[in-house]
Amino acid sequence: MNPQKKIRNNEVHILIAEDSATQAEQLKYLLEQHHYAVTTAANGRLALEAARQRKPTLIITDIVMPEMDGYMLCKAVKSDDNLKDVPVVMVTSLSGMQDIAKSLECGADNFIRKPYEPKILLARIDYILLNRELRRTRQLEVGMEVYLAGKKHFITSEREQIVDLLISTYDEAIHMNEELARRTAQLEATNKELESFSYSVSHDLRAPLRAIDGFSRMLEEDYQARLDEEGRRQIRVIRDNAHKMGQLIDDLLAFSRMGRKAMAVSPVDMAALAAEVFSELRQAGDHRSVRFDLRPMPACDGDPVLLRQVWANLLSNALKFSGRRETPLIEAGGQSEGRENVYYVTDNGAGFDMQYYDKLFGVFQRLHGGEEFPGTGVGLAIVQRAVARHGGRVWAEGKVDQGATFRFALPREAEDHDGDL
Amino acid sequence: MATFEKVEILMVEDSAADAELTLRVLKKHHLGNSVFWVKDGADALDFAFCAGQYAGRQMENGPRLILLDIKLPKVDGIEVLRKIKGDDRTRMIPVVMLTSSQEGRDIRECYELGVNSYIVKPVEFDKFVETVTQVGLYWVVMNKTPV
Repeated sequence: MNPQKKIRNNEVHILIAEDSATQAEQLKYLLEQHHYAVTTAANGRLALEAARQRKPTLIITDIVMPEMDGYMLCKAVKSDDNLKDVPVVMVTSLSGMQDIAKSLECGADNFIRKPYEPKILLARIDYILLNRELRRTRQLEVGMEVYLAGKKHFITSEREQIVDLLISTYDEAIHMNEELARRTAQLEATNKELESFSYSVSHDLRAPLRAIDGFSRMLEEDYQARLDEEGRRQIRVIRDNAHKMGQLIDDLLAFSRMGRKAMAVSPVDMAALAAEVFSELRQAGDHRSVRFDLRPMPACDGDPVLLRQVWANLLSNALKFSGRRETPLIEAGGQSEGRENVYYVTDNGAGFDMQYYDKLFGVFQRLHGGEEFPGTGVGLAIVQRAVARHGGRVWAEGKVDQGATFRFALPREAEDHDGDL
Repeated sequence: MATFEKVEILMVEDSAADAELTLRVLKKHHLGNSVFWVKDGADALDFAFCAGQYAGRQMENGPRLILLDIKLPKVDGIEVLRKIKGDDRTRMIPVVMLTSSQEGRDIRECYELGVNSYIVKPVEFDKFVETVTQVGLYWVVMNKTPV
């Protein structure tokens, strides 16, 4: 930093209105490091008092604050004859058009996006200070009415002020765009890496398993005469575990494919899909004694392949966990609730302890022993991922030995939610 | 220079364990006597085109079937397939991919290149035996080829 700038900054007094003490302190520290004189105030009212006592060169204000918010502070500053030429910078999260409208309405001069980067914040302050010299404060006689997001706003800001505000907004947008492009590239690279990882998992992990299974079987065949019952049992344990690991690899790959698959959304008759999946499952296993009640449920927009997987996993779980009941009961249905369609599968099976609820949808998490109910612990994780891809959510209730109910909600207007992985 | 007898099956497999398992099954069905085993893609191409150390071999001595893995040292299985199906001297030889890969893009690419069958090696030994048996019996015993 050159000494000339140091001297200049020293003459600049910045007032910060910010109700979070930590954030105020951080900003103060940053600005003081660059040799600005800084005062902080915990809300708009205190900031206004401070400004009236000692006129600042620049005010940086948060929007949401107790007692007096950023817009009110700005309006008060701009309607104070002594203070109206002090530039006011709004710290915003740029989350809606109302920010701009209200900022224009209260006469704000500039935006800074939160969370800010020090470099950008300092550049913005420089810009404001430079331009301040060029601006003549001249109140417009007439204002301008603007409709934004369904509301009418009356703006009396000067032209220069509006231009500054627009430039600062645009500046932030460009910066966010660059950031977005960088993250997209990063995400693509990660996806590619993930793809090659699951590819090598599918290929490389299977081969040794086949050798373990094959050679233990060969041992069994070729050395039959020399193996006693215990020897044969031990070989069986080896083979059982090789199979289990094969299943784990397959399920894990299915889980990873679930996240990568491109969504193809179309109208889906959920009742027909559930009925079809159930009859396939019933045929595949010995489930003749099961009573299946298919209640009415709304159709939805979604990816039929992913939704089929959701029904398959929930219904096969219901079959598995109610399989030991004398009369296993399974019911599926759904209804529209507000902006969502909510579907459910309920059974009178083994249930689960709500104490372990947080493990229910985790990958490789199981609430039952493999001896009791076989499985790899991926099924519900796949359900959750498939539902999340639709922008929906999954939850469940259960009680040990009294059955379980799984519900999933899908938004009535479907879209692909990649980021929810 | 080595001499080469008639070969029924060329097995391209870099895993010794998989090769032994496959051979065992083929032998059980009396298909194992004329199996030639190579461990990488470069060797497979030399054998198929009677080049390199196989220069003394005659093209008309087979193989009548190629069992081809995808992930192979030196030259991968898809490249081997491309060369074999792209050459008039060898493109009539039935090629069966026998691989661990279930990736959709591998399967698609192999079919685009003209593979005759694409078989995913089962992990369970019993299913593996059944699969290799079917492949051997179908392509060597039942199938008629102009080769």
